[in-house]
Order: sequence, then C-alpha cells, then structure tokens
Amino acid sequence: MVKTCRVLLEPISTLIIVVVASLTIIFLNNRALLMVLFMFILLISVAISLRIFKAIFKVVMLMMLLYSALMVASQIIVLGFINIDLMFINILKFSSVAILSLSMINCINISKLIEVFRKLSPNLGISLALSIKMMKNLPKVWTIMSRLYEINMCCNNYIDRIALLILSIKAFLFLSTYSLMQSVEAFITRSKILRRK
Amino acid sequence: MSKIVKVHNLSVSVNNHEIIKDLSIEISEGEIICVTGSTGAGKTTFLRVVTGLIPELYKDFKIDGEISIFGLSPSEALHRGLVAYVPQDVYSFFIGSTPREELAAIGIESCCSDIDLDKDIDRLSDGQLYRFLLNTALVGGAKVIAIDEPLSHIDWWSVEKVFEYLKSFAESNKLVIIVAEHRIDLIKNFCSSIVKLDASTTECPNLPKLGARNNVTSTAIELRDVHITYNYEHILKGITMSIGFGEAIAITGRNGCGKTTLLNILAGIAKPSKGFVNISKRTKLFMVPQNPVYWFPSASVEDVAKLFARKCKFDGNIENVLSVFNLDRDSKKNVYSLSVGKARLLSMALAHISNSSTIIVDEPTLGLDCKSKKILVDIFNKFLENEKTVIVATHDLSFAKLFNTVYILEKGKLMKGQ
Repeated sequence: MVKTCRVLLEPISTLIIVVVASLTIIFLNNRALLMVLFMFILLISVAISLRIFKAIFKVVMLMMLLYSALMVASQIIVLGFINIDLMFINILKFSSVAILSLSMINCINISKLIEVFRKLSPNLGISLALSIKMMKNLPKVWTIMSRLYEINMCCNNYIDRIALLILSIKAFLFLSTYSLMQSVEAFITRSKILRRK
Repeated sequence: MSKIVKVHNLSVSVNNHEIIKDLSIEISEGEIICVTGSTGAGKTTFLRVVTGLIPELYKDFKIDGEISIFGLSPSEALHRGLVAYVPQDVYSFFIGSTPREELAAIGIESCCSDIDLDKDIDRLSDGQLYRFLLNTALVGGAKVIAIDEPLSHIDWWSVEKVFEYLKSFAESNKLVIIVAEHRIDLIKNFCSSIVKLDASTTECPNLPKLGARNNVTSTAIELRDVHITYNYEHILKGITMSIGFGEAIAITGRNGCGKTTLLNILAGIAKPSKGFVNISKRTKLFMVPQNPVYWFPSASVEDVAKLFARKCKFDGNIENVLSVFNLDRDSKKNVYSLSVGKARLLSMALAHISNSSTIIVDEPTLGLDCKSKKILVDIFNKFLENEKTVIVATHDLSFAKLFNTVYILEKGKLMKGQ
C-alpha cells in the first residue's frame, strides 16, 4: 500500500490531529458515539481518495478477521463465554484508528515532514528519509527479484521451486546489503551538505 | 589558472592486483577531464580515490603516490564537502524514496524542472535519476565533481545539451569535473584533456549488423492494445506488437519514455492496466534487468555460472563460456566486486547458459566498452542463428541501428523506426 493521494496534508498538524483523535477513540466507551465517529472516519477516508480507501479497507478487514479470531479464543479461555458487546466496541475502536492512521499516512507530505525533522536535527531528517525509502523499496525489490529468478532460472519440479525461493532470498539479502553500502557512499560524499542546517 | 587537483605517480591495487599504475595528472579550475579505458580498467576506482571514498569507505585498497585537492588529501577534501560523486548505480545512491524527499533530506529547495519530483524513484528512469543526482551535485557546493559513466544513463538526444551545461557551469563556477567514460567519442569536444587508463582504443569500430531472420514463422510474444497507467499518468498507450522467433528487436527512446516498463510487460514482470499479452508456451524467457545490476546470489563469478549451468542442465564448458564473455580473468572474483560493465557481461553469459529462446535485455550497452559491445553483438548473432529472439531497450541510438527492427517509443506510443 504505497499509493499517495492527490492532496498532500501538512505533516505536523495532521500527526497531532491523528494522535488526539486516536486517543479519544481508545478511551471512549459510548457505543453510539463510537459508531458516529467510525462512520465519520469512513467518510473522510473515502473523500480523500476512494482508491486508497479500497486498499486500506482490504488490509483492515484482514486485520479485523485475525483480531476477532484471537479475541474469541482468548475470551473463551479467560471468561469461558463470548462477550459480543465488548468485541463489537473493540473492533469499532480498532478499525477506526487503523483506517484513520492509514488514510492520513498516505496523504502526509513526507518531504515536508523530512524538512521539519531536518530542522530539529539533520541526522533525524536523513534517518527518516532513509527509513521511508527502505520501507517503500524493499518489498518492491523483493517482488522484482523473486519474479526475475522465476523467469530466469530453469524450474522443472517442486524441489527446484524451493531451491529457487532460497536463491531469491539469498540474492535479495545480498542486494539489500549492497544497497545499504551504496547509501553509506551517498552519506559520505554528501556529509557536508547533509549536516548543514 | 590554479591547479586544483594534483595526482603524481598514483598506483592503486587490491588483493595484490594492480588496478591503476603510475598515473600523473594536474587539473585546473574550470576544466572537464575525461578518464577513459576498457571495461574494468579502473575508471570507477580512480573516481573513488579522487573523492576519498577509497580508503574512507573501501579499506582493502592500497594507494601509492601522491594525490591532493586544494593541497588537502582526498579524505580531508571529502569531509570538508569539496568533492561530490555521481555513481553508476543511481537507485541505491538515493536517500529519499522520491526526488522531492531527497531534496528535503539534503536541504536543497528546488531543482530539476524537467523531472516529476513526487514520483517514486522506481517509477523514474535511470537517466532521469542520473540527471537529478548530477544537478544536486552541481548545486551542492562541491568544487570537484566526479561523474561515473554519464553516457550509460543520459540518452543520445540530451548528451550534447547536458555537457554544454556542465562545461559552462564548470567555467563560471571554477569547478573541476572529472568524467569517467568509455564512450569518449561523443563527448571528446567537451574534454579539456583525455586520460587513458589502458591501451584500449577510444574510437569504436563499426560493429556488424545483427543477422535476424526476415521470414518469421511463429510468434514468441504478442501485445495487443496494451496500456499502462500509474497514478493517473498514461505511460504506455495502446501498444500493439508481435515478436517472432529469430527476430532481433530494439526499442529506443528518450530517458523516461517507458522502455523499461514495456520490457517488463514483454517479460511478464509487469501486468498491463488494459490490453492483452500473449507469451507463447514455446517461449522460455531470460531477462537481464537494468536495475538491479547485481541481481546474483553472492558467490564467485565461476560459482554463479556453475549454479545456472546446473539448474538449466547446460552441458558446455563453463571456462569456455567465461572466456567468450571476457570474464576468465575475473572467474574467482566476487560478483559484487565486478564493475557494472563486467556484471552486465556476466548477466549475458547466464542468458547464454540458460539456453532460453527469448533474451530480453534492458540497456545492453550499460558500462560496456567497444570490445565488450563487439562480444555482445557476436553473442546476439549466435542467438539469432539458433532461432532465438533478442529484444533490447536502449537509449544508445548507434547500437539500436544494428538491429533489423527498431521501434521508437515516444509519449507512450510505439512507432516503427526507419
């Protein structure tokens, strides 16, 4: 889920709003109010970008399914029965916070956030930029590498497929290490610019 | 004019293998110096020594002789921000995931009006990223700028414009620009002097044309009305093409026109937003990507070749294959220590070993000197003799002209070239 919406939001105020809203949702226990908030967040998310909402919804649904299964199991073990009311409230809270955060993360102006962090400390700005790059790029690199090995290696049977997976993982790890080395090269040759505030 | 860079009797070696021997040059402000040599001659090593990356980052190298920048050692010059480096492998060099994030991280307000700064770096072409890094190096305040293999990245249409700009920028800002390049013939007019690292010739002889078949009987890959859209932007618009067995096809166009995207569709790596792709069941593909250059599981060159030979039941002699691809002297080297050009030759050797029926190569001439290009053309001709299909995407127009069928990709549309 690396789709960015068309309207980019101011990072700091957005982060503050998301944190305050999430805390409010977590400590709120009124079912009706929670329901209203949940609907409101859904509307905001759809309004920001339907495309991003669809992608987020898939992820949140999967998370909710896993969460519900775990909750049912733990309630049976601890309480001996299933408390549907509690489960409903928790799922509402969980999905509201998840949809809100994921929608906003996709719409934050990351470069502005890096600039803000950089003003606090150049190293903080660089670390943030590099972590975002890694988070975005590593899954893409893995997809390319695994597909490349699938195309280029001669794969005839099940054992070959396992060997192919191991090879792709090995190549991916070495490529990631190599990329990190290149990033260090980028740091060193630009250390003077990177450190100026 | 004052001499900024002084190199006297410079020798560089690694693991008792001498890379550069007794090199002496002096470079004045405002000059563009072009360093040339064959694939693996030590051009990148020289740039890394000048920029202080050797020995600051790469510790295994042994340096003899004297080298000074403004009277300082390269390491001191590096720490004072006097030198900048634009590498061959641009993707890994980025700190941010978009050019705008990169600018934010390095604290430059604006740059490069011809590039969409908000696109993810993997959505921009190699050439666009290279030009972006070049621009940020120029405006970053460094006085010595080392540029590695620019012609492998910048398209044929833009080379002159880029070098005219570099020359005037160097003169007006009293910079020194050191360019490592094996295709010196295209930029020699801009070089104040040319430094040869080995005895290889700088002029490329005429390469033979590829002997593709004219009467193609069956189709290997077919595209019908293929569209690719990303973030509301149309990258490919209604591409229709049919590629038969034994055909040699070159797709050319400017940086960022969608060549790599089209190759990814042909290889089945990417799926079209709309349209139809048919890869024949007889087609066994082999893809040599432009990025990543180093896509091998780490081991020696020989081990990687043997691994592919085992998997693909290749019964030929591996030593002979490595010798054909001019890799025999590097057979014990770790693949990640190879130069970009040698790594590309290894990829081509693996394509040969895999015995695939269709070879797809993104930017085949990346990092290759004349001798290596000749090897490549000979190998392509051998592929074609065996009714294999060769598809390449290249911004090297002189290389594209060797192919029987040339397609030009412009504004997302594919046109047959003359």
